[in-house]
Amino acid sequence: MLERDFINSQDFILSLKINWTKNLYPKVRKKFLDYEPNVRSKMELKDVSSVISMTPDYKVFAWCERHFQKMKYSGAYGLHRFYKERHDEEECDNEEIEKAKEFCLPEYYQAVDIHQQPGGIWSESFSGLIYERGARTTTPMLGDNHKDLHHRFAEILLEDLEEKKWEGSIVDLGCGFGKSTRPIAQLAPKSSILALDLSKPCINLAREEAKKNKLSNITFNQADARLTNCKNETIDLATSTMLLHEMPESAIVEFFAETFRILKHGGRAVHLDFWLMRDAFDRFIFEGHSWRNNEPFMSSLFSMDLPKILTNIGFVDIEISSFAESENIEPKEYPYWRFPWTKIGMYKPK
Amino acid sequence: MASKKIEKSAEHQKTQDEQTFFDDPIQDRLLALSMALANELWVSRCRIKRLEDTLISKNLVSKNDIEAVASELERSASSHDLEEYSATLMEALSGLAASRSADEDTLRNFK
Repeated sequence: MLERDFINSQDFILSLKINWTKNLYPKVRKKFLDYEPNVRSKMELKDVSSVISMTPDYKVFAWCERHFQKMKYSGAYGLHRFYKERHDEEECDNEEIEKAKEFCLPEYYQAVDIHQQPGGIWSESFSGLIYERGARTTTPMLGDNHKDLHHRFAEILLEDLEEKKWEGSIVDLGCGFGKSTRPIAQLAPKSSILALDLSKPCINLAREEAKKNKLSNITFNQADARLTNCKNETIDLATSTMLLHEMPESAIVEFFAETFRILKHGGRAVHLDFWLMRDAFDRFIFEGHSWRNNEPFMSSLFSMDLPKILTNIGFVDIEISSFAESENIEPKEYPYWRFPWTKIGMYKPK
Repeated sequence: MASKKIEKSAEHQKTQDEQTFFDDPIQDRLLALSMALANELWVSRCRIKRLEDTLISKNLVSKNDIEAVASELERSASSHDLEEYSATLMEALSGLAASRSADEDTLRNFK
């Protein structure tokens, strides 16, 4: 496959996705907005499903969500084929791959090819490259500003601190290929950051990218976010980005308990994920997204009573609020498709 | 905490059924085929444009050579090709078989 054909095809799929975001989604949502506000506010998931799910617009919307992603990863010019061809031509470090296979991955993690990426984001040495390339267009309306999202979140993480002078310890859980970690390292260069992920190919890519960016304050390790190997009460700030919705409920609870264990007294945890939604229509859309995009645990996250769970673990000052991924976005009014970004913050008592 | 060693590769589960969204699963497949063709068309258009731009930039053809409306002579010369192309497409819609299948007589005669 020629790279130019690959790029042209991916551009084509992205343009379809933008159209889906800006034109098809509002059309589907309009059916819901046509109801009087007092009726809408009382509608539950099943009510929305009964009025929307059989409409032709929704069927096309749902089909497109599933199949645009499939084309992106597995089509004739898909990400997987493109990287596989190139990987087969290159020398690959088989020893490294074999070593990675010794690591015991959770069964839930292996059960589904997340985001419809064939083989998941962990099973091939080039899985991290595919994931990175695919993530560039995960939020189609942000385009090149996708980096803004992580930078904005990093600023929130460090908002109470004297960023450049701060020397605390941070753990970035489920760091992927390091996109969430790098802005933190840049804003707090004197901090010491431990970044963990289950995927060896992602960790390898994250290390390379950090080196390219001359970031020496990050240590990347392959590890389960529920078993960080950090000592008790040694971390000032624990964070994760888009991790919770990829874990089943029991794993999420274990994950929170682990962060509580490793945080110092008075330490803070802030996670960026998908949880707060405007209304039952959003819930309906993202319950569907969870299924269509091979992210099955997103749906169970929506049902979790996070404040109660976090309180039971011992966290205090829990704050859950919508997060605007870009300056021009007002989460409650945004007319186009977007993820229900949510900031979930908490402290370990002093 | 359940865990086990990696056992699968990207080649796994190719036989799993695709999700369907329309009343008849054939509609899902036809739309997927159309989208795949549209994807191919876009890639081909990009290639043709690159070729045209290159030919023009190297002065091998003029912009007018490429963009001018085809003359009556050219159109007439390609009309046969166009007829054949249309006929092939329409034949696919005819519902007629292109090979002989067994009918009831055949089955009766060759027990």
